[in-house]
Amino acid sequence: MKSALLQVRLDAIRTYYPLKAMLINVVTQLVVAAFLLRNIKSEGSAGWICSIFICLMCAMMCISPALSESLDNHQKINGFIPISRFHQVVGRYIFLLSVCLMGLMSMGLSYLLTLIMQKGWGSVASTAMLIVGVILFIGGILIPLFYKIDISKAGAAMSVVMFAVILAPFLLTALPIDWSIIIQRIGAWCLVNGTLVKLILAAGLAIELVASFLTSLHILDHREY
Amino acid sequence: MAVRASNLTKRYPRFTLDDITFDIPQGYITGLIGPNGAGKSTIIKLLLNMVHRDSGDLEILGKDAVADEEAIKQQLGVVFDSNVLYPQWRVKDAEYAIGRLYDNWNHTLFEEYADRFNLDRTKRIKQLSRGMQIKLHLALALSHDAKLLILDEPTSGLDVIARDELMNIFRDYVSDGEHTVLFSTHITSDLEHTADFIVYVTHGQLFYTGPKDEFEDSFTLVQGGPADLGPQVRREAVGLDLHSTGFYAMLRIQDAHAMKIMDDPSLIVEKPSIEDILRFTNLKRPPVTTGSGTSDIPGISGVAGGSSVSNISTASASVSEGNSQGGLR
Repeated sequence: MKSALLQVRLDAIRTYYPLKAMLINVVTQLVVAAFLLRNIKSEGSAGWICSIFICLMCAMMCISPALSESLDNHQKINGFIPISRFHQVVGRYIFLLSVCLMGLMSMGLSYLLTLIMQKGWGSVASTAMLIVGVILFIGGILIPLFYKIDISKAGAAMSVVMFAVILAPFLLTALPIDWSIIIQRIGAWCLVNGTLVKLILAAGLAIELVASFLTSLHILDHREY
Repeated sequence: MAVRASNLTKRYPRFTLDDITFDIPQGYITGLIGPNGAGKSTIIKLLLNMVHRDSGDLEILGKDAVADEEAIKQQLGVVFDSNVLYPQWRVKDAEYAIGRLYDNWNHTLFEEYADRFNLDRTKRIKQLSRGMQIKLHLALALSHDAKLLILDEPTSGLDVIARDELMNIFRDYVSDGEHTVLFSTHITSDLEHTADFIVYVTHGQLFYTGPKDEFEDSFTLVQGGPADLGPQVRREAVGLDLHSTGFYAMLRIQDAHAMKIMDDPSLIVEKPSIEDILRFTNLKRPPVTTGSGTSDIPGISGVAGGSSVSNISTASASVSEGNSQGGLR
C-alpha cells in the first residue's frame, strides 16, 4: 500500500505540485462559477454547467500524469523507481479518486458562491454524485487508454470521439425513426424509476472501473520500455 | 554476487539476446561493453525489469529480479544515457519527487553531491546541459546508499574531466567492498583504469565475462607488411585488418605463442587495448578457405566454456556452466 501511495504522490508531482494544482483548479472553478451565476438566469442551470466544467477540468487532471509521462524519456523513470507495476496501476486509480475529491471540493466552493450570490444550485447531493460518477467514468476510460497508446495516438483517438459526439445528433436525425421520442421516453422512465436508474448506473460504473483497472494492469504488465 | 544471470534470453523481432550467463561480483566495478546494438541496453533493461525475459534466471543482490522488484530497486541507483526526469522540474523538484521514494534517502548527501557537481537547485532540468543532467541523475542515484549502481552509457556526452571525475566517484563508491558498479559504455578508455571486471557482448551473445586484465592479456596485436601475412595468421586471426601497406591481425595469445609470432623479427607485436579487441573482434573477416568451405563470419569467433584462455575456439556461441568463473566464451 505504501508503494501505491508513493505512486499517487509521484503522479501528483508529475501533474503539478498538488497545492498549486488545487489552487489553480479551485480559482478557475470560482471564476467560471461567478461568470455563470452573473449571466445565467435559469434556476439551477448554473450549478449544472459548473459541474460539467468541474468534470472536464478533473478529467484533464486525471490524464496529466500519463501526458507528462509520455514527454521525452519520462516513461523510463518507471524503470528505476522502487514501485512495482501492480502498485503503479493501483496508485494511478487512487490518484483518480483523489481527483474526484478535488472535484467535490471545487463543487463545494462553487456551491458556497451560489449561496452568497443567492442563486439556485439544485440538488447538492445529486450534483456531487454526478461529478464523482462522471470523473470516475471518464478516468476509467482514459487511464487504460493512455497506458496503451502514446500521446499522439491518444490525441487522434480523442479527436475521433469528439467528432463522433458532434456528428451524432445529425446522424440521429437522419434515422427513419423519431429518436427524440425514444429519448424522451427513456428520460421519463428514468424520472419515474430514479432509484433504480441510480443503482444501474452505480453498478455499471463499478463494472467499468473494475474492467478498467484489470485492463490497465494487463497493459502495464506486458509493457516493455 | 551482486548480479547472477543465468541463460538470459530476450527475443525481439530483429534481435535476440541469446542465452547470456554472467556474474557481477560485489564490491567491484564491472564494465558492460560491446558495439552499438550488441545488447548492452537490453541487459540493463532486463536487470531493471523494464523488459520481460523470455527465459533464464536473474538474481540481483540475492533476490529474484521480478518477484522482489521493489526491495531490489530500493537498493539500486540507476543512471540512463539521457535525462528521464520531467524537463520542467527544477533540480530541487527532482529531489522532492524522487527522494521520498527511497527508505534510505539522505538529503544531506544529495546536497553534498549537488554542491560537488555544481548543480544549481533552482534551474529547470531542461536548462541543464546534457552533462549536468547526467550529474543530477548521478546525485540522485548516489544519495540513497544504493548497493548496486547501474549506469547505461553514463559517460557519453561528458567531457574528459567530467568522465575522470565520474570514474573517481565509482572507485570511491566501491572502496568499502559492499557497493558495486555496473556501467555500460562504448568509450573503452573509461574502462582501462577503472573496471575490475568486464562483460563483453556482441551480436546478442556473450563473448567474455571475467577479470579485465585477463581479457586484455588474452589477445595480441600483430602488425606486418603485405608479404608477412602467412596463411596461418590469416586463418587463426580473430580479426584481420588488411590495407595496401600491410595488415593488422588480432590473435589469441596461445595461437600467437604456438605460431612463434613473438620470435618473428618481421612482425611488430603489441598488447592490444580494449578498444582494439572490440574493433578486431567485430571486424568482418575476409573470406577464408577452410576445410569445410568458405567462411565469412565476423571477427568474433571466440567461444567456449571455462575461464581458461586456451578454451577459446571457433565454435559457434555457447556459454559455459560455471557462473562464478570468468572466461572467454
